[in-house]
Amino acid sequence: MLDQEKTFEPLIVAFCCNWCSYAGADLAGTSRLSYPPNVKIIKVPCSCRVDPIFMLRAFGKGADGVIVCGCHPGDCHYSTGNYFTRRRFALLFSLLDFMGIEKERMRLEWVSAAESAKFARVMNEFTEEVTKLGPNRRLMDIRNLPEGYEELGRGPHREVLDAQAPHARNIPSVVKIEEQMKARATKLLADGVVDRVLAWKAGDHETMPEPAFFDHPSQIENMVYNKYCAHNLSKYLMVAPWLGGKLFDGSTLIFLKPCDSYSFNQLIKENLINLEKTHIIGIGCGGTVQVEDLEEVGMWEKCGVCTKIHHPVGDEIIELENNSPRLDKNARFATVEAIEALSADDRFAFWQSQLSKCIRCNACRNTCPVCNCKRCVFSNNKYDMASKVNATEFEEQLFHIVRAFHVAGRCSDCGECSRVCPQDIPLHLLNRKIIKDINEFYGEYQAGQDIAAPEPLTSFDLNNDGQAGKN
Amino acid sequence: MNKTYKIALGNLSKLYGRINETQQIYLPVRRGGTLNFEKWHESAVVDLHGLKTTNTPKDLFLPQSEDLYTAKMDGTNIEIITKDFFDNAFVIFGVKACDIEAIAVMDNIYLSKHPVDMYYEARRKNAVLVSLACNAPKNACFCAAFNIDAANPKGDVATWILGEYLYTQAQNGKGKAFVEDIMGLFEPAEADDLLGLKAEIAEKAQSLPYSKLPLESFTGENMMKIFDHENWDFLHRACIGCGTCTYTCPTCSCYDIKDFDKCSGTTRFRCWDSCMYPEFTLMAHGNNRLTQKERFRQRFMHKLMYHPMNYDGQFGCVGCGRCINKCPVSLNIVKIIKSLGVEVAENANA
Ligand code: SF4
Ligand code: SF4
Ligand code: SF4
Ligand code: SF4
Repeated sequence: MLDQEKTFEPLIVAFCCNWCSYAGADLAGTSRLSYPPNVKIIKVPCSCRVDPIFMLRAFGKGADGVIVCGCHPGDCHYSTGNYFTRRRFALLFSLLDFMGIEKERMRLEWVSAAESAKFARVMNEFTEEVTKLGPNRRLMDIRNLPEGYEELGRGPHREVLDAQAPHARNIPSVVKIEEQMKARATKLLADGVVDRVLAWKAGDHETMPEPAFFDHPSQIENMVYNKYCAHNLSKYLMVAPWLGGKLFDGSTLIFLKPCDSYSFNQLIKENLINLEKTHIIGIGCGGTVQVEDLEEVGMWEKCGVCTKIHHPVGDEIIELENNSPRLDKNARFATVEAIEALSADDRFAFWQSQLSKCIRCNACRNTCPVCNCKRCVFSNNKYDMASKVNATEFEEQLFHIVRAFHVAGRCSDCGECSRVCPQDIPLHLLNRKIIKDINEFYGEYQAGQDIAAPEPLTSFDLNNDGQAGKN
Repeated sequence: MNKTYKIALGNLSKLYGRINETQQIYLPVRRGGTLNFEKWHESAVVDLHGLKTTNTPKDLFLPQSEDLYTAKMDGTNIEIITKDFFDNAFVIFGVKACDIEAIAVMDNIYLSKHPVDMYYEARRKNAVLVSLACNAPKNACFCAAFNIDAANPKGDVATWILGEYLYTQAQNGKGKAFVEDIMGLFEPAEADDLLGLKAEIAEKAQSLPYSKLPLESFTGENMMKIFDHENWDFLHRACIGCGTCTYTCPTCSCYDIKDFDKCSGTTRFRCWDSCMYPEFTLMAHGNNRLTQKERFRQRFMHKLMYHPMNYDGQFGCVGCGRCINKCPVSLNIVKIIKSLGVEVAENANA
């Protein structure tokens, strides 16, 4: 063992900006300043070019440490690129730390073209630190069920998950709303204001309503709205490849629960909805319930901690008569805090125990309103990934991290990912961690609330981001 | 009639430990809040009373992903590093009647016709299947619709939980050999003890909401009628193409073979695939099932028409009800059977 430790030579990947640190590295070379041969440099036009997936992929393909070097704030060749880099990596490092992955393995450093000495020093320090950490295993193993995983049972995982047991709330009757919805839908269809209605239709069993389109007033009698209508309808109005079908040219009436209306508003913000052909009716909601074997088994977690009463978007609103009192809006962060309080080993064990259950169906992605890419990176044959279950030691391991990061700043916390996961993986906790960090680092932000508000990852604050950006 | 034996439930971990001495044992384990078949170890939280595992025994015969070989290039030299076939004896314990029947479906697909699937065969022949009767079938179960008897599960060895005891009966030679090996932990029992329990289970299973389904019309001569049926236009409409129903289905058997460049060589592996995906059987010209409607129809046509037509009327669905519980948008095979089964039958009579 000792021998192995002595001979461990880490592989370090350094993404260096062409205009500063790459030149800095060059200067270090010509000045005969030495830095370890373990460092493999990849030149990029700007540190902002470094997508977090580059970093993760480097780890996936065998790197033990990854460092991103850019120009000092204020010196970016393109004026502002590195301000985005700073925000992006502050969130990524924090997320990985939350999952118990050693954050000492990744770094963001500002190195100018003149700072050859700093370049050499940083690389020496970083290599030394990564050597101490040993080979990168955690990112490679996060989805593997470890041999003899007894220890996992010992950890605080049970308590953490119990802490998120749904808060009991009374579910008010929505029968009256259902009647009002049907009346409006019938009228709007009959008057020709809309050509179809998107809502829920009765299933073969009370607990089994399904999202459905209604084209004719005579079909409206099959429409239902009750506590089993948990499905977020937002995405059905987007033309996404996996939804197939023909492009529909008419106009649509969509019913949105408060949480759904935040998702929908986010889609509007992303220019994915043709508002001219959409009529939106916001509907009140008293919470939806989880069903197993056609029986109700309690309220969904997302509904237990929901504080969204108002609709940020809507042509009309049909309100609930008596909204039940809502929780403190930070109650939803309780579980995130409980995980943060664990040791890094326990955090890792918690996530490994959860993510090793994943069967790589695509329920979480396909249901997520902001996973709306025309072609997802995980459906791309060129990257050896085509929505399939290649869950061995490949970069598919990083699916959950990449997905959580892609929706950072856009996820409205609708909770659909956790609701649909067949393995009951609490995926929403990853997104909530990011939301909590955004709130703390860059100020309160709720995706989908205001389409004019700047998005946290595509904006920056010259004066205040420094703190959070420092890793 | 095979002999009946019993063991006190309190002694089960001794039994698992005993089996574990010679072979691996997989059984329903609750971990991270979910019930799945997992390898037994001393602190595993075994739950034989939970009804359905999320993943199915098929995972043990057709793993999510399995490396086949690795090719390494050195100049113009290509070295092929093959993988040995799986060769460890193992036991799957606590498999419900529907999942046992599902293995019979998989056996038909993978083993009944030449050439057999050698990877599947290697695992399958190493396994002992220990089934368990379902004391409390639930609403989403519809094994009864396919004449699967939850009270008398098949497998190599069958077991029942009655009171404080686990009863067991070998079902074939393989099972007999297995039981003989662990006999020391059991005591003899009367098969008649089980009669009451069996009657109770059968009655429960028959009274569930989906226990009687209009399956009569799903026969070869109706194939085109069902394929072309207009109801598919709305039946598929909510489907988001996630593939959850296929991955959690005990009889969904499709896989893809792909290469992965690991920098240190290229590994060829096979992994589950789903007809619900646009990338399924992707060819140079694209996917021949252009929209989700065709993909969705394929899954149900396969379960209800193509499989029975190819294998003597054996349905490709065993009524486990997982798709009912797991579909994000509450679609499932029962909705399909009800919608098409009734209409096709009515039109035939008209
Ligand atoms: S995981 Fe990323 S690439 Fe895939 S759909 Fe979601 S946001 Fe797009
Ligand atoms: S829904 Fe759950 S099981 Fe499916 S890919 Fe997402 S995390 Fe994995
Ligand atoms: S189709 Fe559904 S009910 Fe039938 S075996 Fe598959 S998952 Fe179970
Ligand atoms: S689980 Fe439901 S939504 Fe997903 S592919 Fe199957 S039928 Fe479609």
